[in-house]
Amino acid sequence: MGQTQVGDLDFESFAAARWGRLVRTAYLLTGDHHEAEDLVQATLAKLYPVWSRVRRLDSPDAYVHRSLVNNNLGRYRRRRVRQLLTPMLPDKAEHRSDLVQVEERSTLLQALATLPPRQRAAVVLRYWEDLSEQQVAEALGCSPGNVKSQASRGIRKLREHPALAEYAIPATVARGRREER
Amino acid sequence: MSDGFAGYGDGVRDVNGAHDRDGGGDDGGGADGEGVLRRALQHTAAAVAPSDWSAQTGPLRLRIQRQRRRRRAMVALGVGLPLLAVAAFGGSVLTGARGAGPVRVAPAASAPAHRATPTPTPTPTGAVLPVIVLRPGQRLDYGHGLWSQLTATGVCDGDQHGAYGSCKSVVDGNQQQGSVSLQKTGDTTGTLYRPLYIGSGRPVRMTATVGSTGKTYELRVATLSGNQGYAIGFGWGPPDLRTPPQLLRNDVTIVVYGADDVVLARS
Repeated sequence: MGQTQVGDLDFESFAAARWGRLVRTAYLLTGDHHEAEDLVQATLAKLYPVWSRVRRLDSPDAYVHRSLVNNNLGRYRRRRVRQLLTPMLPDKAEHRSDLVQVEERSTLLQALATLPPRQRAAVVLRYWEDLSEQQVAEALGCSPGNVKSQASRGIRKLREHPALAEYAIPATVARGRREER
Repeated sequence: MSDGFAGYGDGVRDVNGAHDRDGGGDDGGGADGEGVLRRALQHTAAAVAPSDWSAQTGPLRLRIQRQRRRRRAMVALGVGLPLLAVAAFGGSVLTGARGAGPVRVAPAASAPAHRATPTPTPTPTGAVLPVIVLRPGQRLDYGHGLWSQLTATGVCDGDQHGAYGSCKSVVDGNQQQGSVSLQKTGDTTGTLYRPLYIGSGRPVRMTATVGSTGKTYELRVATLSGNQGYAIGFGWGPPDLRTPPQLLRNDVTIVVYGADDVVLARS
């Protein structure tokens, strides 16, 4: 959405328009649906008092992305402490057919969970939000070169994870597809 | 790249309308690797069904209200502490000088608003005053132009004329964990005791016992919010009228107490 359009939106319209997309992004960042919605809510609550200033920015969405990522990194730091203090491991879920879909979906989340939080954010913003390296760099507060290396390392690490195998096809088929074009 | 990473990525449009870009082929995994990853991310994200936005407005409004209340409380706390200090000391009239009359210091109201201004705490042992919690860099005025500033890495002391000033790191390892050191300064009307405790304990009070007089003074504790691993104490005693070299001899014992009067450190 362009600057003029965002500038014309009031806070609630902006939040309503972005809600679904932000929750999905937060889901890829956190790996948990409820935490994702909570994270987006917290981000929007922080955005509200400064909305009159943010809406005039060149890219309010970049501000929101940055805020979302920073909030998540803050939660990650706090969560690490909480997890260390958890006295017992949760019970293993029993195997049921209706859980299969959830399990398949969560394999990618397991793979993403192996990435350090900033690397995970770089991968999600770059390849899910489809932001440029420059935009991701602004969201993460680092250089585009750093984003490039983070994303590159992220892909390399994910490539070794079986979660992505189901999305891949043999190279011969892929070559055939390209030749057909 | 392994064969398994030839991808579907070309031209795939995600559930929210963002299109695939396969231009960044030099990004480590290559264009095909990116395509696979984009597809996996789309598939995973598409499976999430965000709650209806209309169900979010109520909780969001509550969260915003809570946030406002918290911010107001923080502002009130910042303003309230100096006022509390003034109220607690009854307008800053204090005893202290050995054999001399009361030491009167400038009232807190004359200090800039961003400063915490506890008035000098002379003080024979008595009631324990609450710990002062400072923001990093916030100036703590002791009166007589003397002040301290606490940051995550150390404490700085100075005076309003810039004639006196020093900073001490709390992270360089020069002072052992679980120990207390003492900084002392003053003028002809009083001596400021300003011990520094470094350790994982949470001091609630400190005392200074002056060997030459045998008197013990209750010091007030100031710290940064959260447990930053250190705290300072401060309080005014009578002026030290000795001359060098006796003046330089440390005859003060500092004891740092945690909750339930547990001794955390002793100098």
